[in-house]
Amino acid sequence: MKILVAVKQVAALDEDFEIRADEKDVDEDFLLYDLNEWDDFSLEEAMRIKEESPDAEIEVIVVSVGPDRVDESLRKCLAKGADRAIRVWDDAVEGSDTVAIGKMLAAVVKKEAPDMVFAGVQSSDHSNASTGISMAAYLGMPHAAVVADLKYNPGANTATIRRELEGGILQEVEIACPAVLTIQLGINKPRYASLRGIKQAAAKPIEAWGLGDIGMSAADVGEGSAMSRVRRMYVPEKGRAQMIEGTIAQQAARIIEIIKEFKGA
Amino acid sequence: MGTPNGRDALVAAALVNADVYSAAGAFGAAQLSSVNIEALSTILFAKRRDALRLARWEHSPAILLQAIGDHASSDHMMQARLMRNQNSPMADEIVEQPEVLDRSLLGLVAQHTQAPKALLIKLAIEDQDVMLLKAIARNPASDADVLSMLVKRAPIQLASEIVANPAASSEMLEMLYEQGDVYIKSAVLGHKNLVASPGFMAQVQVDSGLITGKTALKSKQDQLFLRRQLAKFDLPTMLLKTLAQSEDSAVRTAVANNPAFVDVKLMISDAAPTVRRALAARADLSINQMQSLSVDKDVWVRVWLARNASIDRNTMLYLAQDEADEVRRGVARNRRCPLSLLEKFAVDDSAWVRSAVAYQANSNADLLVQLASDQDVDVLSGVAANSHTPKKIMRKLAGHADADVRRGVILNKAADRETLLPMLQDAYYLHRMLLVWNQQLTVDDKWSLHDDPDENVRFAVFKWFGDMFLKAEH
Repeated sequence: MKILVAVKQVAALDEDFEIRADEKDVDEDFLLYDLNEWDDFSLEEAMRIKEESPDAEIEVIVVSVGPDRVDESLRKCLAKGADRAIRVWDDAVEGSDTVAIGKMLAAVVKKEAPDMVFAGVQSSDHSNASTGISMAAYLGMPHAAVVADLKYNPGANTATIRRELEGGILQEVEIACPAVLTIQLGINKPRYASLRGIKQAAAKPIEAWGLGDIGMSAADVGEGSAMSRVRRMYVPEKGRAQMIEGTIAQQAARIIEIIKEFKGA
Repeated sequence: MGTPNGRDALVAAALVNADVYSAAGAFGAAQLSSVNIEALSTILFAKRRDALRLARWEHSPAILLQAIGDHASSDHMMQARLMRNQNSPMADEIVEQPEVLDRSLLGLVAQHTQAPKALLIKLAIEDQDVMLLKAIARNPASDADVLSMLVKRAPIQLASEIVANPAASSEMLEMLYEQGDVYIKSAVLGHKNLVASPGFMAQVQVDSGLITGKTALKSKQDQLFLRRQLAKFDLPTMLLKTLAQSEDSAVRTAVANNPAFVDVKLMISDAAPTVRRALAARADLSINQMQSLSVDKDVWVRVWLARNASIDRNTMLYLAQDEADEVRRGVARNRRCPLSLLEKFAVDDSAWVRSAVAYQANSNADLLVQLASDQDVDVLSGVAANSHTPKKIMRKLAGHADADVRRGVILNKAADRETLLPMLQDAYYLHRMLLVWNQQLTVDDKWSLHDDPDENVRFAVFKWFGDMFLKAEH
């Protein structure tokens, strides 16, 4: 059986950066790339299921949409134990929105026919929280978001999940499988890749798929087909935050005043 | 590639690695050789994004940051990152002509811990921007001479920054006390450099309302504020007694913490737990006082007593049976805890107590062998870190699934080379980095990490070898 894990290479920022001349993104020089934090947990959940059921012969496949640099993140997943890695890319994909990315991932899922699909709840850079659900919509598969606990026996027709809701409430749900689950942080404790795993991953192939491999064309993706597009990225004017100056005691006294003001005391 | 035997070989190895972090680590060793510097520069400065990362990286050595500054002298963002990096040396032209910088960079210079004294004095005398002057006043590099220039210019506006600076002189502090509000006065009283003269202390006693006088602060709250600081001083017995009877528990707690106050019995039944906690930590408690505090209803009073190095044996035995595991842990952590009690704690129901035994320097090998079969990570981490743990146990824990347990072995100074060698393959990069500095491992052992997948480890290896070669040459 197969578990497919959709992952993303995200960009992190330092405190100081420059916006690109076209004002649509941060200058590439200031972006630090790494595997999305949520995806570490998704992959670990897949690995947990695989390792707890050695007789089920589970294949864990990681999939990402992105350019060459994404290979580094996929290798990290291979080093942690994923069996295969697929990277989908075509220059025409540049500028795609999350719906199009979801559609591309759905096409990969259709081709691979996994028994379970995981994605992170959201990505740490763009925070749309829509790729996993968009993928499920294109697949017409059962789906659940913000999964904080999963009980699943490989090959079973259903899985029991717990979803995080507002106010600390958990919702226990039985879901038909195959399903698309977006995994929440803290569901497990992600492992570090062993040095041996890293060395072995360096020799493993990463399957490079183009749009043709998933039955799509340039017309289906890119900025032209996007239902939303970035108009401008900018740093907003400074808000209401203010530095509280003075000695430690002065600062403490001012904080007490502010709390009292807000409480109406 | 074999272990390098000198600086040139190290640079050659960094060039083979062809990555930014190996080159950054070797850069210090490349000094004195323009050929080596040039060769590494081709890796370090090929991409602006790499140089930008190194410019802000807290591990970048000064010589590398200086080279980045020279290479990208017209790149404002690069210069700003360098100015924020506290390892950056200050370029000569900035020291001589700070006015060539724009205001944002000058603001960063003012708070840079490597800003030369002459530059800080120049800015302190000439600059008109209060925010910049405040940055200088906060800068730990500003010594008493720099601060005195600021005091001359705007004592009130800069008082809260100056009074928080560890370099403020006693004379300066007394002046700020005179001119400042109650917050400044209080901060002055809390400053470690204050050498309180009898006259000054008499003034504070009047201001705080402790002694009648014209300068007493009008607000009772403000008087209390000063008394909380005053209670920390070596005052005459009668004054401390008066403060010990204050209605304000913070004042009484300050007295209870004050070693100059010797009349502990006055406060032993104080209503405020904070006061009794302070007493429980004192070194001069009588046996009766310890016994009284050992039955205190506040758990933290008993915890502080349990940790007290002056505790008597009977009180310790009594607290060893306390229902709160924090208290039993306190006893188990106490350096005077006897082996007989540690043996009892080693089978305590609470893992928190057992872990204290595992970390205890008094625990012997037999006890640690017994604890090594524990399942709790805190307990095993303590066993791994304890220098009395037998080698065989340490080697077993070196392969434990939990990173915290393995780290205990790495940090254990008694861990020998044979124990540490397998840990060079540890999955957690920080552990491999720590091993680069370990004194038990040989240079060949360490060099095996030179092509590590993690950039931090590669940097650490090249930096360690570079420093070693430079040290050997000097």
